[in-house]
Amino acid sequence: VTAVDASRPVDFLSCGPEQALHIGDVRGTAAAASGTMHTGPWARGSDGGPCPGVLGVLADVVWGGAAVAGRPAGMWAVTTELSLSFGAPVATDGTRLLATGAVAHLSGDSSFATGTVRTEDGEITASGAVHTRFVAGDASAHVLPAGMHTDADAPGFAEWLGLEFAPDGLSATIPTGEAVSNPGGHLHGGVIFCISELAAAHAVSGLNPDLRSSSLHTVFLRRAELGGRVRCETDIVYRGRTTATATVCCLRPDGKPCAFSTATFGPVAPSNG
Amino acid sequence: VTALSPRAAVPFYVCGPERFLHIEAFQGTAQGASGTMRTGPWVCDGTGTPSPGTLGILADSLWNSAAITCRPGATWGVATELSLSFGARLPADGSLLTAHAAVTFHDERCAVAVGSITTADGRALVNGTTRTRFVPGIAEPDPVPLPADDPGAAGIVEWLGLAFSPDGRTAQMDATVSFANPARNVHGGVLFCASELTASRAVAANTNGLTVSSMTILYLRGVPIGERLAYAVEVVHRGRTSAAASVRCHRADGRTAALATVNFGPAAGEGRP
Repeated sequence: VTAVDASRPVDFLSCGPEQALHIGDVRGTAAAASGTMHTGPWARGSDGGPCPGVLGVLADVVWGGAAVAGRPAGMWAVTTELSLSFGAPVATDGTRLLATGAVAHLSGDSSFATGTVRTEDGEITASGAVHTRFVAGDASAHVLPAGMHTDADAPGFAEWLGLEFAPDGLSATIPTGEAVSNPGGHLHGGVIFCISELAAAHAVSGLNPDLRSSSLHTVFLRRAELGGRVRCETDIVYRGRTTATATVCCLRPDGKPCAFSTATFGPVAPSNG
Repeated sequence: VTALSPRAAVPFYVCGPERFLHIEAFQGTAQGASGTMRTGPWVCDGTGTPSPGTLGILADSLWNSAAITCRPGATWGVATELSLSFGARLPADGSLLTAHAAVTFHDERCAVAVGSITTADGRALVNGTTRTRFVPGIAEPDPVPLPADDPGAAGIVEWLGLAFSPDGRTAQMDATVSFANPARNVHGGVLFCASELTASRAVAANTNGLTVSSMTILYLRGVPIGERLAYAVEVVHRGRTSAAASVRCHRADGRTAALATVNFGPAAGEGRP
């Protein structure tokens, strides 16, 4: 077990996805971290409705921030898994979402943090966990100037990403430019999570438009370098009257998988009890 | 039939899995419930290694019980999803584990509970989430009577009667009465545990220095007692320090009963209290 400085502050390195989604005020330590996201049209998906996948970016930054803060000296961290269970729908009305997270387990080479995302009224929009693995090195070269990638006119995050669907609805691609970089200069894990959710939701909605995402679990298998297009291939594993399940394999331009996700869908948004 | 409420006591039914794993009485309500499990050789696989999948039985049992207290009248709750992140190594030394759960939101259709399992000295073994759907038809469960004496088993693999194929990619087991949940279907924790054991065998986790870092299982269809279950593993990714496998559990009619994603990382340290 590596000694941990629980008071080490969270590093908030704002890249394009954070700016596009108006994520900020990220602070705290490994013991407790928080951050906010102002909602707006940028939180919409490809169908114009709320896109719960954007919460993956927020969770990756805040919960992952707590997990990264627990790293040993001289190390950086990469996200290896991100799992969210969705609750109340994501608003697009300008209200604020509050994410909080804390490290639940820490060892010398990895950690995981759990957390929630709540509305201003305290309703839980998502809960889940993020796993990180510690790696040698540092990451600060790809932090972008504030506002560089904020596009208030974008009709939604899917459009901002440049998401394109194949005619069969089971395949989707995005270009991977600097705008979707993480601090390490690779494709942002929250973006991979989000496009996986968007791809699965698009495929499922073609079969049953009344279903919405209820959870998504993504395991990150390889880094995805910037440049070229990454492709999400969706497989509908189960389709019932009130639920559906899909897997999504995210492929790099070289054809190797960089992430594998499992998505579930339910009939309606649960309201807070 | 009287509907339970979030303030009602969490129900506790001693079925075969709870008895085999020495899971003891639950206390509390949906706002905060707890239960215990005594460790011992029963949590170990055929090689004497503690199986993290056994914690799925404790988590499924307690967390789902907490969610069930939120059900509307004349319905019962069935788990549709269980997602666990694993921390410290599971002991088998006779120590007592403590599980906690709390419902984070619910409506008339479903509930979501989050929870944790810790060691006797306070280290995090598991954090995770379960999702429960309320279904009509079973207002009050009538658990199947258990044999007076549980036949002795050296460990969880023997108790489950899991028979692995020579290549380690498939396994079979008979769903006996010992594996029943209160609604007389196969206990979700049993499906979770058997999926973990099968995936761990397929990636040769013990000999490759890997351990399960997280696991998500989706329950797609109920499994009646008396069925023969077949597990099939697809290794999605195998790297030097990580692996991911997808496990499908098929009923006797060939339909998929459960789909699990099992992720592996380096066999890590003990974590901090």
